[in-house]
Amino acid sequence: MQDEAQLVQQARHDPTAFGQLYDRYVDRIYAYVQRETGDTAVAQDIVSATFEKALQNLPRYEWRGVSFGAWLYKIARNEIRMQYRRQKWFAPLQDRFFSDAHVERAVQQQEEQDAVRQALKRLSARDQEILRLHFFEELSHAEISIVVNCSTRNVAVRLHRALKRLRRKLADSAPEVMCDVTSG
Amino acid sequence: MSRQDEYKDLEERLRQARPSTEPSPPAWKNNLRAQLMEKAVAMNQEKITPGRILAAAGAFIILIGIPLLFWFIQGSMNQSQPLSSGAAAEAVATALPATTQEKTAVPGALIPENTVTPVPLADDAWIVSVEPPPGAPLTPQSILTFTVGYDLQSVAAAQLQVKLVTGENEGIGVGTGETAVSQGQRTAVIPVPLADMEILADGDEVSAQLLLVNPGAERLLYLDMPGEMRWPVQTTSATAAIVRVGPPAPFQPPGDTPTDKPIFQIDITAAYTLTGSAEAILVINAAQDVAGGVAVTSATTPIREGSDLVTTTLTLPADAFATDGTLLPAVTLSAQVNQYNAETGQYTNLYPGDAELPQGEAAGPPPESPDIVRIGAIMLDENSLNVSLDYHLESAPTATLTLEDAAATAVAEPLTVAAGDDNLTLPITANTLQAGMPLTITAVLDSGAAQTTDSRTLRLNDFQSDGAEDLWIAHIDVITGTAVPADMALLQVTVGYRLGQEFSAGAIRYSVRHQTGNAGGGGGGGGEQLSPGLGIITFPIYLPQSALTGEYDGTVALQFELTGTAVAGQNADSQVLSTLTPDLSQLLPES
Repeated sequence: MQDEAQLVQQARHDPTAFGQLYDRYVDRIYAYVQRETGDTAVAQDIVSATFEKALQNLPRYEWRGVSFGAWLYKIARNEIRMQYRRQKWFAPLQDRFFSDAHVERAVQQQEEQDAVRQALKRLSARDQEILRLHFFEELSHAEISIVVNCSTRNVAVRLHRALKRLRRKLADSAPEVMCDVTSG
Repeated sequence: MSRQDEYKDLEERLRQARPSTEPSPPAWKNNLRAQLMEKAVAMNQEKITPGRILAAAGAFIILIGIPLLFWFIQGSMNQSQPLSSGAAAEAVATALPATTQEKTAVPGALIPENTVTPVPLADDAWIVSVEPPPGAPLTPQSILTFTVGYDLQSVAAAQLQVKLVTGENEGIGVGTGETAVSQGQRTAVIPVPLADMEILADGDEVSAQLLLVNPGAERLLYLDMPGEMRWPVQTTSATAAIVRVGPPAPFQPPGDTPTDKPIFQIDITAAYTLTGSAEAILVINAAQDVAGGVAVTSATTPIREGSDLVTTTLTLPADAFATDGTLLPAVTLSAQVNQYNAETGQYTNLYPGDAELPQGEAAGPPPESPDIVRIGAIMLDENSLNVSLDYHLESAPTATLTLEDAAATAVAEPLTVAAGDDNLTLPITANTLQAGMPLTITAVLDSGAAQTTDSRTLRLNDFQSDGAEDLWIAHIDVITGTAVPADMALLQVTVGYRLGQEFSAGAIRYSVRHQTGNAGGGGGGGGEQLSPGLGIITFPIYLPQSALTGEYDGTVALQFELTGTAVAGQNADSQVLSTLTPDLSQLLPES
């Protein structure tokens, strides 16, 4: 971590150091954006914008003892939201996560998908995001607190509540799954 | 398996459920890296370094210092030779500036690249006033109205923008308003809605940025960040207002409780909006002047995040009513929303914000039982009205679910439902719905520990489209005033649909987008699942009033989409059957 703090400090005047930060995080940020948007072309645009903004704002970046990656996630999340706002008029980008109709279709068409993923999609956008950041992106509570702009304690509470709701959703859908198994 | 093990197992399943992604294309990745490196190098070169300061000093000496020295020497020489006449002296004096100008261009002098003499911009902008003022808490419905003075000189026309920002380095935009301005010194009024509440949390602060932008060249002419103007964010907010008061019905308390005067019950329907909190308590108060003070009777209903109509039953003595069944003018009804904090065990008044909190039972039970019932589609067939209901029951293992009319008479067989989430359809006799007569249906979920309700009002002609459409507007109720946040309107849009039996299921989804002049806008959407047949569904939609009245050239676009899902073998195929774009421009008169 200390090494990363030094690298960030160095990157303010040394492009090579910024290159090292880029190499360290580009794949993770790309995977995150791709998972959120489901579109590789959009993901490439968003990742480009993310690193450009990081480069431009690097002089103002304050090291807070949490990974530089958390800041990149935060910028990427913002870019995703902007993209969503640009496209949401009749073409909601995040339909895959938020639309009940889509979920229904997904349930019917993609039976092979895991029950956990389906239950996750039935949670609120807020719950989905906190669970995805922790379990898919493997961010710590401190990192998530930077990304979603709330306290670490609040992250822990929100995660616990989201898990509780996910557990309930899974319990609700359990008979359905059993039906599928027996009929299949 | 213990609860802890269950969670561990769930966490592991979640990790395994992570969707796989394709690796980033190496060519793209390398290209982006190269571009970033180029930019990083360029940015470093633009920084002020000792070498650059020396270079700038050298350029200054060459461009300004040498000509000045030359002019000074020449002036000294002229002074040492007395002028022979006044006319000659005048000629020299007038020639001096010209001589100086000529000599700034020193032959052979090297002008370093990138040496640009800064031209001070004459453009300026400043905040004259803003409502709500800095320091006032902002809620999700807040619209800040900036009165901005500006002095535009460098170009004929520009965009004057106000941005609301937050976060580290104030780098996150949470609202924008803008207007076109022309050259001169004037003021402009720019409303800026707080747009992106999802990324804000209680305690965050929002500040404003002021920009003048040349739209043609996309060039920033002026930027000011008056950081001293800050507004705290209050993500939890609520509004509530009574929209309907039902007729009184005689009430006999259970058991042999003696009453000194007859008691009546009235159903009071309130529209509420609750944001930033999963649950809260809606309290309906009836205050009546009596000898020695004011008697207040209250009834409470738990409410969930979002906006909806809820009906609460209030029990009042007969002397609260006039002979025609209406409430006496001395009886004042009011609605308030309280939030219960489980950590402190205290209530906070969210709406109207300064209300006295009722004590004891009147404060409402802590919202530990967030039961919910919601009326979805209402379908009409030859013999019955079929009311689709969703419920969530947590407060007790079972509850009674009933459908009542406005007189609180059951119109369907009460059902006992089990804890959890479910949806079901209850049939009621169609003859309860008579031509020309509105029918109010209230779904009541009563677990003993808690009671929650949801109401819809419908008419027979809601089910009749003018033509042969699959999708039509049955009716729209517009609710404004104290029922909804300031400057907002709640549209209760009831949509009729007809979905053929060839489909196994369907859905109606809507998207809404509003724009208020150049001051930004917003949008949203939602949807509802439905079964084949003829039916209606009501969607609550919040919009700024100015978008509906055309004030500031406001516009609103609303579109509904009916899809049907046909199952053929193992495959389900969804298709869009119909779209509907109602004209909302004349719903509210221009103020």
